Amino acid sequence: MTHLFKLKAIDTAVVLRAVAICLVAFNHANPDAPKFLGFSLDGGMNVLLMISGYYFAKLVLTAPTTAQMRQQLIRYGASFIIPSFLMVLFFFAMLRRFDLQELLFYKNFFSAERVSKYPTWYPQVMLQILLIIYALSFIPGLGAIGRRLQPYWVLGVFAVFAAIRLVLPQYIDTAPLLHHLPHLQFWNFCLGWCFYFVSDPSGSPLRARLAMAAVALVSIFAIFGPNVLVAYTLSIGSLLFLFVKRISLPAIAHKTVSIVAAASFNIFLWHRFFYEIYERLAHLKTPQGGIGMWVFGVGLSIVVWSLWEGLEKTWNRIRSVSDQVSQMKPAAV
Amino acid sequence: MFKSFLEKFRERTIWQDEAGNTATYGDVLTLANRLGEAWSGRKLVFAEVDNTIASLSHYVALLSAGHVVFPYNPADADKALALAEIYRPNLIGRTEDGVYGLHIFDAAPIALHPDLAVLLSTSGSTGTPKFVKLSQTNLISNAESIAEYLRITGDSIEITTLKPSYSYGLSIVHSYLVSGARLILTDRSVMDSEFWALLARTGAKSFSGVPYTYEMILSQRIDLKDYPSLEYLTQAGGKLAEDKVAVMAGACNALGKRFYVMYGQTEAAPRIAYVPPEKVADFPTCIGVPVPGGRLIIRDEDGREITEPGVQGEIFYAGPNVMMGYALEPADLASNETPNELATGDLGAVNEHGLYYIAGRRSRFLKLFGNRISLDQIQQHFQSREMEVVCTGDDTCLVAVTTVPEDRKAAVEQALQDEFHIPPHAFAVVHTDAIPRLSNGKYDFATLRTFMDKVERKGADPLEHDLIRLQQEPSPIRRTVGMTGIFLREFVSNWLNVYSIQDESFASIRDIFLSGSRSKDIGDQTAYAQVAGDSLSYVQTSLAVSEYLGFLPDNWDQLSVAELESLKYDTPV
Repeated sequence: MTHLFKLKAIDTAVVLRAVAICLVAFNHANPDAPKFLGFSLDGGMNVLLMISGYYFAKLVLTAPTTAQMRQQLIRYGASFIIPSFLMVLFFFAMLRRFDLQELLFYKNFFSAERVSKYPTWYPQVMLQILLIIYALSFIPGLGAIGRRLQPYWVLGVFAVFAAIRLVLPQYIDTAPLLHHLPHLQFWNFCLGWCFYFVSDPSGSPLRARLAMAAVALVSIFAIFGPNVLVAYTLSIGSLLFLFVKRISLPAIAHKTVSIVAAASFNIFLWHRFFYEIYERLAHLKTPQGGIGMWVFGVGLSIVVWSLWEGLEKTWNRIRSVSDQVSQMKPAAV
Repeated sequence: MFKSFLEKFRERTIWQDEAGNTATYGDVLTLANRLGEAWSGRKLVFAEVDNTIASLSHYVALLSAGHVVFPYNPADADKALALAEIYRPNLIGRTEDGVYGLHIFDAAPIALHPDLAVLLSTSGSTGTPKFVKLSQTNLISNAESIAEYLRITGDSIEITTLKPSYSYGLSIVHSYLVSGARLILTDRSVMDSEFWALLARTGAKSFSGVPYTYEMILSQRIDLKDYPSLEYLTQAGGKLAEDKVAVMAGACNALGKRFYVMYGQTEAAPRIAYVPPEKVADFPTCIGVPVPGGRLIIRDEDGREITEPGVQGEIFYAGPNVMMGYALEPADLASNETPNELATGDLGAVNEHGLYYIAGRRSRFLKLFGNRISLDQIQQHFQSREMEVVCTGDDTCLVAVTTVPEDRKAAVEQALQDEFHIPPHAFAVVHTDAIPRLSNGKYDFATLRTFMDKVERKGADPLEHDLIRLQQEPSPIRRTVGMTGIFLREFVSNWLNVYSIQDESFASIRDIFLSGSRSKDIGDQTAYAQVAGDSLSYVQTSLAVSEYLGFLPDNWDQLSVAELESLKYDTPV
């Protein structure tokens, strides 16, 4: 049994991803949480958006050429847009309802309602952001300027969009849309870019991180105010991300966190669907599902993920061995 | 000379196909005469040959008309055409719109040695295309020897199991041709129940098989008792495991059938030795005695003949079937470099019963899964990369002995898989501080062979084995059912792996990268950052790397496959 509790290091980003998706799923299972907890567990999606921004900077933004950047951007986008799109179709078929705006991923501009039983606003906003970046990449010289001015350029972009998020809703009421619009969410995504550039070992890490932490905290509290938990969730997540590279966990927790983090996107896509099933099975009268619903939804989403992973691995292995077999020739002397 | 057999057995049936269509020796003679009239002078012909009446009749007719033929498998047409670009044959024989015909490729005359009759491509992946040159004398003498010891007569009927473009398959055609016997033509495998039905229906008296054929017969528990017409079976084309030889021989002996284990090389047209069927069960590891008219000689390092039983040396063969040499370029088709003796490249000895056996491979070739692997070529590959690797092994396992440090072994393993297409279970890489050498500075292969005892022979990948088996299955329904079973089995295993309930299956960093990206183009110098797709696969890959190395290096995504592999035995600072 002792090996189950042996400490193993894990990337903080992995832990944050796992915790964030669990928070998102918990909130959806317990919309009345503030009544019995005294506060809501908001902020999971913001942390996920920040982490996405970090990896976007790492994998796409830093590509050596603009052409490669576009290629990586398409690959990055396809990895979540295709499954999200398929899920929309799945729910349309299941519920026998159709919504063109939702199908084309721009409904967030018109309504917070949706047919699909998963937070479609996230892939909608992400797709819109990626399309804008893709379009901008065709402006001659912009990529070269951006590469030369990093990280100041990124910090400037962040400052502009943080200001937009802070100011614009005061003039245009986007609360009914839950502010799920690309220009209002971009600062959160860009926060991840900033974190990537300040944690780049070629920079001056500690001073840059301290400065970035200050900028992040000021921006987050300015945007959300001090009275909502989302500000604290995102702040704590940001600080951990900036200053703690690895966290040691007992082996059993390490394994659990790894699986939840790896399955995070599937949990995101599937948990609400399983909540609906749980509601029917448990004959719930209110949407308050409690811990049971949360475990049910997350657990079955992980099963879906593992089935898909198993299928993908099987397909790849059979294809690779088949290729090998087809290169063999019969002996005959 | 082949023509004389067509004339002699004019009235007999030479081929019979599955549909019951037949052709007589006389029909083939008529075709030979027609080809002789149509094409004056000797031509170089690249001819598709498979188990059909038309293609085999053309092959024999071309030979009988005195042309020089390179028979090739229609499935290898691309390779044959690539060779045609080099050798510029006059004619290409192939089936078009269901009709076999000869088509002009290059009308320019070619200098052909008067004795040259057949060109056989040396199989496999050794790089430079090379032909073995065989004369009519080589082919007929070997065919007559085979016919003598297999006791083939005008009444013999063999059902085909091999491609006639391979030297083993071709030798069956020749030995039946010189005996006035009949071949039942089919491409069905012994896994196909229709093969056995055809055998029973036609009263076939023999068939031939490579090791895999007999492995399948044994694994399928096919009872030879159900086929009373069968008189004998032959096995060649590689080494069949000792226990399987013993089982096959025992079964055949009990039923009064003969089971021949044979040994040969394309360079000997191809048969060199055989084990008399009454001795196979007692000496399942032997290659037997030389074919009639041939002689086996064991020579020591200095070329002296060894006559003492049990003393090993290199096996040489002398006989009228030894080739006219190799053709490496078109000009070689005009020459004859018949060696006095054929160096087989095998090490062996004769036992006290007068039976020869092989102890190992002296020559620098192995035949792994039917691919001829040049050990020298592999060594040169590594040499050019400043890695000292010396290869040895047998036809079941290649052993690469290297001074490359333990932590760089993965690069050697990767090259063996990627560059030479050797499956991971068919080779082992062994580290040594210094490669053993003789006093004259040459590699000490005797000592090197002892490394074979030190390696753990990995069993064949069951998936690979099953897919090969399935490939042979002609029935689409059984193939689909089999594939479904394989898929489900693999799926359950992979599904459990996802939770790491079973051991993780990643064998290398490259494996991990392949699994975590959409790119298949991952080499030693590829870093994950170059091929990463999205943040999710990034997380999964980082977890797998961490699991594989025992820790996750900083900036691991910027490190190349080779750099990460080199950290496998490091501990994090």
